[in-house]
Amino acid sequence: MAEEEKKAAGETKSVKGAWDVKYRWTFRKDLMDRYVAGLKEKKLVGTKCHKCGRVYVPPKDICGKCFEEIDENWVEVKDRAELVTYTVGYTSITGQPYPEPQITGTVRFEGSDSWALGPIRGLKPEDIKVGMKLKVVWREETKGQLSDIEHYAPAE
Amino acid sequence: MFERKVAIVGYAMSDQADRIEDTREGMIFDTVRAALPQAGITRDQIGTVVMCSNDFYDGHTISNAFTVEPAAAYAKDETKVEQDGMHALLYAAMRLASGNYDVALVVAHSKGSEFEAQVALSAQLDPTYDRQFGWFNDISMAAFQARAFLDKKKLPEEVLAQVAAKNFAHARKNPKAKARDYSAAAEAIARSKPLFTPLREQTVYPVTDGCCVAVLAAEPKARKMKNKPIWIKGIGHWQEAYALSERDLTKMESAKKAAKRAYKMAGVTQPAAEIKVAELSEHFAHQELQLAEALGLCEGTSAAKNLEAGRFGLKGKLPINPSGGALSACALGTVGLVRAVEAAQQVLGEAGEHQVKGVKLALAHGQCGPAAQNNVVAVFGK
Repeated sequence: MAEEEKKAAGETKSVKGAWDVKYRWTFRKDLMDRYVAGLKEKKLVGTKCHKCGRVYVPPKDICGKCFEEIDENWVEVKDRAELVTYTVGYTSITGQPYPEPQITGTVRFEGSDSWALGPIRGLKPEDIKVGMKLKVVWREETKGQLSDIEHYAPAE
Repeated sequence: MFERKVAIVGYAMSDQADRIEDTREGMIFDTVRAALPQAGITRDQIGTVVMCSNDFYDGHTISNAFTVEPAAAYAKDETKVEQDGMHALLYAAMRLASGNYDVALVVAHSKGSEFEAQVALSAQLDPTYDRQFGWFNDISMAAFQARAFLDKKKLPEEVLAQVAAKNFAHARKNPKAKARDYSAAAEAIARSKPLFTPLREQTVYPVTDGCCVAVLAAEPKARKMKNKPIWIKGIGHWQEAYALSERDLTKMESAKKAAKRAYKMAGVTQPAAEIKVAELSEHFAHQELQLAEALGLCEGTSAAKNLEAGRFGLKGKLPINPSGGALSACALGTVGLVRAVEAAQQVLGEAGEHQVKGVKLALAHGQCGPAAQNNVVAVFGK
């Protein structure tokens, strides 16, 4: 096959481009609104199942284990947490190398049963210990957004 | 033949609406919470849960990982079908017939208000030849089928508007149907915005939010439940090739074969006389006519003539889609299960204002794939 033919076939066999797929997810009742209103005040609010007592932060109104609706049972938890588990990332989620390794962890707020995920900063990877006490580092000027929790750092 | 007979023993349906102001999880939770007491069971009596959903519609891969808890499936056997609600019903029935479980929950859901349906559906097309240039989507593929059918049968385009008008009139009596304006008569429908000829806005399904739940049980358990069991007397599943060129677009070969299998199992030899009501998944108006012919529901060979004579209307001899059908409400992926529940309600006498009198045998049909590539047909009865 001639070079030009090969080239033409190669061009037809590859399609450049990206899918632009939009989604417009819905929120349930005012769960998110109340959560971020709490974040604006540098407070963590969640919901507590009236049947099993499980506390969910961020708040949910369906307790999966009980298959029950949690009806207006709000609680506040401290902005302190325990490190449940962690990982030190050397690449971004799409595989690009990081100049500095980034630590992310799952944390359990004191008084809550569910876990939040986020970046852990202010310590070296070799100093991390599962179970260590952390505090929420709030954005200085909170806006009422999920990013008001900037990161987690070792508690003093 | 199934080793053990399987029946629908309970059900619930959310509104089939253009927008439900709730999360997918909330919509499912509320519908399942309604289905369990309707069936007279509690969560612990469920053996297996069969979800019907589509990752691309939901915007999550393995999206059923998120719906485990609201679907009452926590710590249970849970699985998923990514086609249509009738496929999920068939799969659940097979799991029960196998003897491994006695009670199954079938949960179909999607929220058309949350994604761009034609973007997701165009992704079902072959990426090399059919998708590359962006010329085809779910509607245009069906439009090819509609044109082929109308030309072969020498039918005017207006017959499509007549199908839609009939189904919209039925939807006005269905409190669950809330997906579009059902007030238009045939003349207005025939002038609605053309999309891909001969298909117009009002002869194509409305993209809808909805959840449909069916509770199935196998005998002997099915006979000991709160509600009268509505048996799956017969069920068949068949599919054709994807490529339109490998199919006769004027017929619905796979629907015909699926029906043949279902009728054989049910002992139905004269469907046009024995089936008293049919709920068909007519995503596009022409498909109702094609399905009526393929499933042997007509007197003679012309569904259009039957339609004109009033045979398929609510007061006719064989009402088709007394619920309003997919043209009235179409939460993608739920449509066949909604048809099955509607068919069961007809046998039970629980279809309210759109009830057909004296139903012994009801038929339900579901489809998926471009231009109804893949079909499931079931016959329900006491």
